[in-house]
Amino acid sequence: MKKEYIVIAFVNNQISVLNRITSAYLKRHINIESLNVSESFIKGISTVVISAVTTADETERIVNQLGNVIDIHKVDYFSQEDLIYKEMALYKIPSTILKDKSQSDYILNHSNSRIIEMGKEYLIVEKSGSRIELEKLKSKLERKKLLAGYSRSGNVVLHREYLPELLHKVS
Amino acid sequence: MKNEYIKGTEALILSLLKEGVDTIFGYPGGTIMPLYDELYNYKEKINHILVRHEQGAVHAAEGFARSSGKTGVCIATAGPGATNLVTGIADALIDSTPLVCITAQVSADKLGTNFFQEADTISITIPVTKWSYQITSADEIEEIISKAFYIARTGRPGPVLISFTRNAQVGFTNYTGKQNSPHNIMCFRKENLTSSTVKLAAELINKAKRPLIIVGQGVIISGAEEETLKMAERGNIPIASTLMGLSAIPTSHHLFAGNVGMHGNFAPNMMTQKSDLLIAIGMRFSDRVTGDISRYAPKAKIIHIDIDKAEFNKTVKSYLQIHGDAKEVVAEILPLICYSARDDWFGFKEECIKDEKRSVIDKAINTNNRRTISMAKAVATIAQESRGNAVIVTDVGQHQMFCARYSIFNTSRSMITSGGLGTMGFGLPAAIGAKFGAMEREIIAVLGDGGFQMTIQELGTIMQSGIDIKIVVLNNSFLGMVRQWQELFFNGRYSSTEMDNPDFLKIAESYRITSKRVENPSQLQMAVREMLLHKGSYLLEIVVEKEENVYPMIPSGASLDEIIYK
Ligand SMILES: Cc1ncc(C[n+]2csc(CCOP(=O)(O)OP(=O)(O)O)c2C)c(N)n1
Repeated sequence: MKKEYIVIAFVNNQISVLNRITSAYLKRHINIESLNVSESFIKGISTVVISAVTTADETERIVNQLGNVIDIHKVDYFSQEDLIYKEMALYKIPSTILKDKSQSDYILNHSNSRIIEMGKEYLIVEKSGSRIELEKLKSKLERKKLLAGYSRSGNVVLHREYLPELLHKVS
Repeated sequence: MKNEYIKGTEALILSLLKEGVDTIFGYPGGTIMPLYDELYNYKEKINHILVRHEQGAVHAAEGFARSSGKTGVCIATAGPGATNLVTGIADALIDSTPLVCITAQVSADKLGTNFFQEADTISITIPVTKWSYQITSADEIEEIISKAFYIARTGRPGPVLISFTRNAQVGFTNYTGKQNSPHNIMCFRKENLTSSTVKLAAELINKAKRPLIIVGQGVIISGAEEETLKMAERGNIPIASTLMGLSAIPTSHHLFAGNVGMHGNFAPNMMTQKSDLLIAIGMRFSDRVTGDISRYAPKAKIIHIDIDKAEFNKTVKSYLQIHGDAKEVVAEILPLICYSARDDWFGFKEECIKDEKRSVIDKAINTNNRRTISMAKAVATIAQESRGNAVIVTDVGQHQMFCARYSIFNTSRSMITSGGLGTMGFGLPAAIGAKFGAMEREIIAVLGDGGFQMTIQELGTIMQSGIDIKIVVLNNSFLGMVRQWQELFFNGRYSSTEMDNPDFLKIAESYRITSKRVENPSQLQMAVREMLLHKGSYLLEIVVEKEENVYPMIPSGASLDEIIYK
């Protein structure tokens, strides 16, 4: 059964690692839905978080292949339930909505977002949450023809449980 | 100050020498000229074999690695030189062959400008290398070359590509020459083999009524031939081999049942289907071995021993996975194995062997009433006349399958073939490399007329290097294997498989290689003998039956019991 699997890899901060990772998906004709690379809690080691909709078997084969990549220290896959994961999105909204309380009330008070910049023509609003939550706000704004720009980050994740084994292997 | 420093190119050569390299295969060009200039100074220490095409260099390096067990080295210039290596690198990855391929690259400050002969070699080769690295400063050379060799040979061997920018070649560095400190690479960390795993494996083996050992190339790579044979003898367990595992076990051994897979022997394929326990050692259950997975070995539990964890449960699900070096793992299990007579099981094996002999082998080899030579007979004659002591290097196609079926092997590393990628053009250059890897051995390249012409230019390499290899071209004037499939699965529509061939003897002659053509079955044996007695390289063209098929055959996607005989 296909569903979203999240692969987390701890990698050397090295030029071609990311290519090797994406090539494992490309090879199997699997589209990457989101990808995020950031510094991990250990110096010189980055965390790569990739999500893709696929099967458990396929994901396992990808993870096994990645386990053999020289510059990868540790890689595993999770389903959404295992992880706390969030993305962040920025929305560009015409400033005119501030004049219309019925419009602005939801955004300002009920959408769990915050205004981070207020320009003459546009507001920039920031919201973090699951992709579904972020997309919900997006479609709401779109429907009202209020969305002038949108950008969403990749996943940042933390495992719910304490994973001593993972820490041990990476360090 | 500068006097203590040496050029990057010299640091590279010293690093190669430190790794024990004495032979490299390559082809020069603009961007790699500084390295060639340096090689000129080290002519006595490093034998550089000038090939005629970079594909020849990489296949020769593979042949060298496969016959010697060492890491093969090839070098090429930037751009087209590097891209010409790609086929061989892919071949080495899928067939677990340790290679270090060094390609030149434009200077670091010119990268990304479409400089003359710039191609993004690193990106092009990422999916087909075990590791790759671009050296952009001479200071990186010593460490990176040591790491490259370590990675190529450690764990499951494979190809490593080093892209060597021009500025790093001509730059200066303080070469230490120190023994390199060990590289700490996570995926090579060994897990300890637990005694409970070993016990469980031994228990499964001792309890099994119809066990079958299948050896893959992993047994050869890890040098586990002796342990495997001892385990089989101790437990009285029949052994089968994959195409890549051939020669690990002497073909004449009473426990040897033949090779498995699409054109494999009847016995091991049928035994797989009847077995209650498969002991798979250093093999990966390729689709050519398993046929339809859902109907593969339906009654068997599987013990899978492999150095590459990624192979476990990738296609075929196993009952017990043992991660580790085949030699070490088998050595642990070996003392716990008990003897069992298994009369019925061996009775079944003999019955299958007889059956195959009667229905396939006798027909293929029997020369009575034949006016043409069969490929089967040609290969069997070579095997007989060389007494199973030669290294057989094949190309890809029908002749390759006939070599797998009809050769005799007495010692390990005697079958060199392109298994996973099925690369036509592999045979001739791989045979050249195999010779350099094992100078004392007789090398016989058995090629189809199609594959021979894919890298035929390497006859020039043979001429110039003066080596002694025997080349047998089995000429059926067809791309035989494709023609066979057209006959069987495409209603006999021979679309673009018939070949109008040149006079191979004239070609050989122009390369100063002694040659002969044989067409008459009655002259085959003498011709093979004459070739083997000849001092120096020799080309024997054997004109074979045009439309012979390799049987038995398990059609792609069928189950192992759905063998076709004809
Ligand atoms: C580079 C490459 N191109 C195409 C093929 C497909 N192919 C596999 S076997 C074969 C025919 C080989 O013919 P030949 O070399 O004459 O050997 P034969 O089968 O007749 O023994 C072909 C074209 C291949 N394996 N490799």
